[in-house]
Amino acid sequence: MHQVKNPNIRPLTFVGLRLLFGRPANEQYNDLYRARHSVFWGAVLGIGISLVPLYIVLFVSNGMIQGITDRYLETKTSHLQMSLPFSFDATQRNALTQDVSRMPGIISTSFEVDGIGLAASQNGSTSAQIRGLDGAVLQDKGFNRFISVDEGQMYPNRQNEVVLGRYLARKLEVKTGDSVTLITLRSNDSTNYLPKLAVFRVAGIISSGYRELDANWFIIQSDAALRLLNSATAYAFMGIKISKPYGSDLDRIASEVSRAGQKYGLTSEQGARVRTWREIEKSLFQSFSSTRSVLVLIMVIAIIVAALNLASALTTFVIEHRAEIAIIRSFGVSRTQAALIFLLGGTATGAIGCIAGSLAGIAISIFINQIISGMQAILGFASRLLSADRQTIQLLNPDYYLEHIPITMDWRFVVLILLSGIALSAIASILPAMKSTSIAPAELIRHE
Amino acid sequence: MSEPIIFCENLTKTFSSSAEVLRILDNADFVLEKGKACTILGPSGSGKSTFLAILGSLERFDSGTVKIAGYDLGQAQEKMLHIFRREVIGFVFQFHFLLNDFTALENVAIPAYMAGVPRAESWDRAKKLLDLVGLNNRATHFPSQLSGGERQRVAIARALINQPSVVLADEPTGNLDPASASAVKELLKSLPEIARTTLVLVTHDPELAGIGDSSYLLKGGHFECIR
Ligand SMILES: Nc1ncnc2c1ncn2[C@@H]1O[C@H](COP(=O)(O)OP(=O)(O)O)[C@@H](O)[C@H]1O
Ligand SMILES: [Mg+2]
Repeated sequence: MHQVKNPNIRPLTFVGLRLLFGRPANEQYNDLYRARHSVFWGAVLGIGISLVPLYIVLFVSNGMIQGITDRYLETKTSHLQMSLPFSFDATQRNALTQDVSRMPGIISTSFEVDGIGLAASQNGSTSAQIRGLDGAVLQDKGFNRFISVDEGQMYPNRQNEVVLGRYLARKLEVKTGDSVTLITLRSNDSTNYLPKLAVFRVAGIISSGYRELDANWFIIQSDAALRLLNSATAYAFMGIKISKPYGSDLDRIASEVSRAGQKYGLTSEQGARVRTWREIEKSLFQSFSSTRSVLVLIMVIAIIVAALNLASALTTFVIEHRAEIAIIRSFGVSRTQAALIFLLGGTATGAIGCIAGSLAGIAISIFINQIISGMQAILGFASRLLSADRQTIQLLNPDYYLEHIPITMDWRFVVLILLSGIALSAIASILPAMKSTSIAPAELIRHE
Repeated sequence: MSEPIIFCENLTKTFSSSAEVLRILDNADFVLEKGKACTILGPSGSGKSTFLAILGSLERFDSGTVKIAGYDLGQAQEKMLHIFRREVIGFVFQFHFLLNDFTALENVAIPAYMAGVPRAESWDRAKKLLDLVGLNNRATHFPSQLSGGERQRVAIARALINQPSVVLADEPTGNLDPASASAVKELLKSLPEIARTTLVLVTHDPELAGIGDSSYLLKGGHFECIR
């Protein structure tokens, strides 16, 4: 007598998978047979399909968030901001800039004065987000990477020139060469505000690829902004870019920069604070990640439903195949082995579904931009057939989505999703497997 | 007299329903020597199948002693019984109970494969057994492609795969038409010799009743030796 100490998995999966899926390539199989096994292919399909949206949501939202974050960091927020008093004079500012740019880990600095105003053209008026930039942005790699120039140039070469965000230009219905009037408020004391008018010539129209970010950009030279705005209505700061904005030494570099500022008498009591992009854009990214969490939760529920479907298919199978289970038990298969047949069979079923779903989900994610533009083209064509108006169809509203979604494969997600999908299938198989152990081989003897 | 491979003493088995207690086996004694074959006859409902189920450890009993090939079934733990079934017993039922999704060859090989015999060896043994039952040309056929008699012969081959000391057959021709039955009968007649096993055969068939070394009639819960 010998006991099988290590129940060999291979015979169990051999029997389990064949029982569940049958043999596809046999012409002798009748329709009833096929119907019986199609339940399993249905369960596989269910699990596979439930994974696809999860991948898409994860990769697309990650890509979106990453893409949007990069654009904020490179074209607007910078990695660190050191706020400067409005009165801080230019020579001191240049000295400080020199000091900070020489610090290790820092790749560039630029001076910016921000404020708000009202922009008006012959065709309309709208609020404008004034960005007084210094010429350093032209050398900034990140800025150049994400800013695309629709017309004209990227930076105003003269004090009376402006570069507009694409949607601001559209609202004002202006082109390069047109004039735009900017109305700002100045105050000498904090109670009386006086409007101030200035006329700018449009030198260029640009886009960051994310409308929410650049919709109201009114880019002028920083000196022009200093003249138009004052401390009550504007915010002046040094934008600092470091080599690893997502790295862990962001805070350390921030405090070093802060220390450098102290040499120039800049303290946080004065309002000269160094903040990291994480602090500045905190609410934005919190809302991104909570939206993503809700979506992922919905997707996870879909996967659980698919697992329940697998559990019910397996249970039905066990009930319908009592005799086969009893016969397997009668020739010396233990309860544990019988249960393992279904546990492994169910898990393998889930694994097949998970792998197929992962392949499909990853493929769709990688080609999501092409798929979206293809769908837009088809829908656009259909709508032109159906109606006369020549409106282009946009599936993703560019106000809230990037025009091009940067997809980066994160294999940790793939592994995580695969493993949890397979684990869930295993859990779903537990109950049917236990049910199979209650089938006694004695049933055979009194069959019919 | 050599060592008995099956030894039952004072074996009692009852089924109780709400109305009455059925004494299927009532202090029955039954002994069979190793390598011998015997047949069990008896009217329908007399408890023949129940007795075979007890011998095969598929069914438990109320009292008495049942010892088979060194296993004391009255003492054995439930969770160890599958080892007894795997090592000692080969079962042939009235219905073939082949697994529809597996070929004849696979059906025969599976009990060995599941018992831990390597795949190649299991398939090898199964081929030899299909040869033995005269179905080597049907190895790749599925049960649905076989006749009733052929299925039962595959089932007999399957019962032999783990080289059981005892083969228990419960009316193996009971479901077959006479034409299909004849090959199965021939096989059963030669079984003790070719498979070198002990055979307990329950049958109604007069032609089969005479095979083996002895016959018993189960009646009133006792065995009566009639040959
Ligand atoms: N699980 C059970 N519960 C109650 N009575 C049973 C059960 N199994 C079998 N019986 C009864 O036991 C008797 C013997 O059955 P069985 O062993 O199948 O007889 P045989 O095989 O000789 O025809 C029959 O009367 C049957 O109704
Ligand atoms: Mg019977």
